[in-house]
Amino acid sequence: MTRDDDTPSPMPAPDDVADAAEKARARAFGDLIDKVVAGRPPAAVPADERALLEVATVIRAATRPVELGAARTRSVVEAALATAIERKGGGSRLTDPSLPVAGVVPLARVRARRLAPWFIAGVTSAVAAAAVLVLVLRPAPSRDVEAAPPPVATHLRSRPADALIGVIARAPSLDVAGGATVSRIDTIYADRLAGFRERTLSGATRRRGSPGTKGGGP
Amino acid sequence: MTRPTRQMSRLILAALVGGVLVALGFACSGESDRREGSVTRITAPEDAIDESLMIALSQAKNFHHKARVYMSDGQLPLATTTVRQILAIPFPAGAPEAEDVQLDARAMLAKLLVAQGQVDAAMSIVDEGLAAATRESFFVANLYTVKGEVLQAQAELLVSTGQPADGDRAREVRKQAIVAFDKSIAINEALQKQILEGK
Repeated sequence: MTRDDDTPSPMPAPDDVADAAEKARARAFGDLIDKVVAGRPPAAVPADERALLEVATVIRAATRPVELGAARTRSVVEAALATAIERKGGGSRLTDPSLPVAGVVPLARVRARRLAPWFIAGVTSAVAAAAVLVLVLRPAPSRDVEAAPPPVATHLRSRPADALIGVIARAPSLDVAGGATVSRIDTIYADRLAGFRERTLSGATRRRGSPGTKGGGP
Repeated sequence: MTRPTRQMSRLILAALVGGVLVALGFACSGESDRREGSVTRITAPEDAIDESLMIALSQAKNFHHKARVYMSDGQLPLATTTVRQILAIPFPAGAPEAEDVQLDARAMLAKLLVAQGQVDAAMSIVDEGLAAATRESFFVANLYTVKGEVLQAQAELLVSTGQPADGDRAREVRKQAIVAFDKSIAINEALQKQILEGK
């Protein structure tokens, strides 16, 4: 029995053992599928085998994922997006891609939005780092230059009281000694008070009184 | 809707973090500038008459007046206590007036103690003052004079006992008194000469 016969072959029962002719036909059909999968389909295929062949191809495509190249993937995505934009914009937007489409964000802007936080953080961090570097690396300012104090007149300085008091005479009694001691401290205090007032209240420009003067009262 | 909100949150967070970093950086720099202050500073001369010296002198003056009142009232112990307080007045470090005023107070204190019969205590006060003196002055010379007076008082006390040995000791003390008076005279002469040459 061959496939060229017009007489239909009897349908074997499901549990029957395949005979040699059926095995030969199955092997020939398998070879045919291999050729189709390998991209070498035969020039002519009988109609009943073509139907089976299409079914087998559909089954194979459904069970194995299709892997596309990067370029093909990109073109497919771009085409799908273009289709979506066209549908959203009423079909005429694709003629002018620069026109914005409501609700549709271009890929470039999405990328920019994603990078914006990092950009801001990077710039501000760089500015802060620069400020710290300037602080650390700048030349050390010269330490406080203590300007020499302006010359102070002798009578405005703290100094020994010898010239003011002179020789201290021996006191003949305790009472006289007490009075002389009070007189000396009064003299010292009055003289220094005059200098202190001149220096702090009137500045150092006013001239001191005559040497005989003991200064103002306390 | 979720994605833009998250993007906006990240944006705000990044701006905040950056702002804080920048503020910190400039704050450190500004703080450093403030710490360093002005570069040039005119200092006041350390030996100028200042408020602390005037306060100390004022206290010494008041204590002397107070002691004078006690003395005029015959209350020598209170006068002694008052004059002793002058020795505790805090003067500015290195002020020459401090030494002068304290030497004068010691001289008065020694006289008060001698007047109360406390000759040894008076001698201690005098010797402490002379040992602490850093330069020769009319006040040092006066303290040597007071030392001579204290020694004189010691000699008189020794004589008053009537013992022969004390008589010899009294003569020795009188010699020391003369040495003290001579020292006082020598200091006074040297200082007067120095002042005259300075003029």
